[in-house]
Amino acid sequence: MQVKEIMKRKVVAIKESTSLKELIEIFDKFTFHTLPVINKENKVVGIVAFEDILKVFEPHPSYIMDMLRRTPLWEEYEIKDFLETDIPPEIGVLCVAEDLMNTNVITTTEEATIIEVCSLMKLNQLKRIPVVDKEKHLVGIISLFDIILAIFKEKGVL
Amino acid sequence: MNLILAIGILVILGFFGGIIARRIKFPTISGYIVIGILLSLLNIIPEELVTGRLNVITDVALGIIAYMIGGSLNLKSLKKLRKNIISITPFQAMGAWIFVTLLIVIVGFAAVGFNLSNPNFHQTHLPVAIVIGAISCATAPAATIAIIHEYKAKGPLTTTLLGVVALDDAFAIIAYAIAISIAEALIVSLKNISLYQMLITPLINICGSILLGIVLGFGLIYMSRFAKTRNALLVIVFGTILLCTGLAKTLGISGLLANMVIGFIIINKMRNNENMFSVINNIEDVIFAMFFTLSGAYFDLGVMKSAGILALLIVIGRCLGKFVGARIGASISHAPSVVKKYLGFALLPKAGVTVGLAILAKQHPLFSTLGTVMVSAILASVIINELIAPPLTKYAIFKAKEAGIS
Repeated sequence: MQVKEIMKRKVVAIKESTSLKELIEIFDKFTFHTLPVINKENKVVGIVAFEDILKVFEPHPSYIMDMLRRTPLWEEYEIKDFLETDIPPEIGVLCVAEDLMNTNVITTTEEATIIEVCSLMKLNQLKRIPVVDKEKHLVGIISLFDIILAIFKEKGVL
Repeated sequence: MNLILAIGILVILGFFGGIIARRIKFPTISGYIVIGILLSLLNIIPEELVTGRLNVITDVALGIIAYMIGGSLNLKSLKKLRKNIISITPFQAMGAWIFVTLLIVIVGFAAVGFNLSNPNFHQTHLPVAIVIGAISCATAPAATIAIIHEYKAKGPLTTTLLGVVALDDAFAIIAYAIAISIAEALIVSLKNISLYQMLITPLINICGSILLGIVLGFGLIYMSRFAKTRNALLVIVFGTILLCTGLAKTLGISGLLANMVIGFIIINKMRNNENMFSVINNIEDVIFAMFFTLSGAYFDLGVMKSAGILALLIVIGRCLGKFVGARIGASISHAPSVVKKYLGFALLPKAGVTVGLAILAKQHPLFSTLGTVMVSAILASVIINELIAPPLTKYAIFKAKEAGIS
């Protein structure tokens, strides 16, 4: 079975310029864990997971924090640290998806098999993967639930 | 006591030491080291185990540390760093290296009064001082960020400080590799080896380490295609780190530098490289608990009379060197005046890489005479630093008016 047979072609995606406020509203409405970020040409340029929203509590440049996080003996903040942090209300419009997204995006293609996608999900601990064409245009999205649904349908359970 | 029981004690007691340290707002690693010192003072783990068969833990832990540091050197992020960070980092590292080396050479050995069998200064004392100086370059990112976070600091000084500590450990590893090569070259000069050979040997060591790292880095990228699960990926990554460390030992080159180059190749030459580092997180805590508790166990109260003086000199030399070096680097790069004035005060926290390099140096034949004194001095200097670094970092942040809370 190939990805194109079971993937969702209607994708909730966001733009690089989507504000934090809009982003939180979209997460709240659709309850997805991740959202692909696309540019003007509909190419996938990043992905935002809802925990990436916590980056707004980080007052320092993200490129330095990314370097520091990779150093050994790094100690992550505890959740109580976030509760104690002040953030200005205007951050909702000033901060955009581009500031929060991870540009290291795992994608798949329509021609990939379900076995390949499952392997990719397992290796990268993902439950949703954007589907792209050869030019990296977003054409759909496939989730672990789509795969489970397809298997149950094939087995005649549904 | 058998080996497995010793490892079990190190891990479990180290774990609780780490928890207590975090409770009282110290880095976890401080807890590991203090527990190790207590184990040494109470003579719970026999010395022959600490300095003997448990040594393998040092190589494994430092291999992982070097790989992770290499992984922090993302060229995309490095290009975004401000010019003053790129300028200050080498100057403050070199400052610490030079000042600590000079202080130990000029004051240290005279004050300590060692009676070494070979009185030839440049072949005995100087190599040791150069290596201790290089070890003093490192700055602890975790301790620094904890202080910045506590005072909600933000501004040019804070951003520069974060950038410098992010790069500093990589500099310390390079400095250590160079220092050990220079020290070895100085020692072999005893054997009437030509100046050309003395200069070319360190160069071959460094280039060989980089080459080994490049080969194994690309080899790791290739092998990772066969890993379909995270567990399989962990086997390949961890196996490559061990392979690199072992090959470097066999070839007589720097395993630290080679492992750092592997991390550098992975972060810059491999797409979707996140897993290559995150899988190591699954095992690093247990290895670090083992290693840093073991490091504390190297502490020897019997040599503290000599080591105490060296520890003070290390602390003073490092403070002066970081301060002067940061000021020179900041002046050259036309950094804001708050960076010039106060950055040196904030660069003093040290722990993990410093202790790791000290333990690694102790295992080197170069330190057969001074190894125990050196490790005890560096451990004592880490403890002194834990006490003086936070108030000085706080002073710098407040004087720069970058603290978010009063």
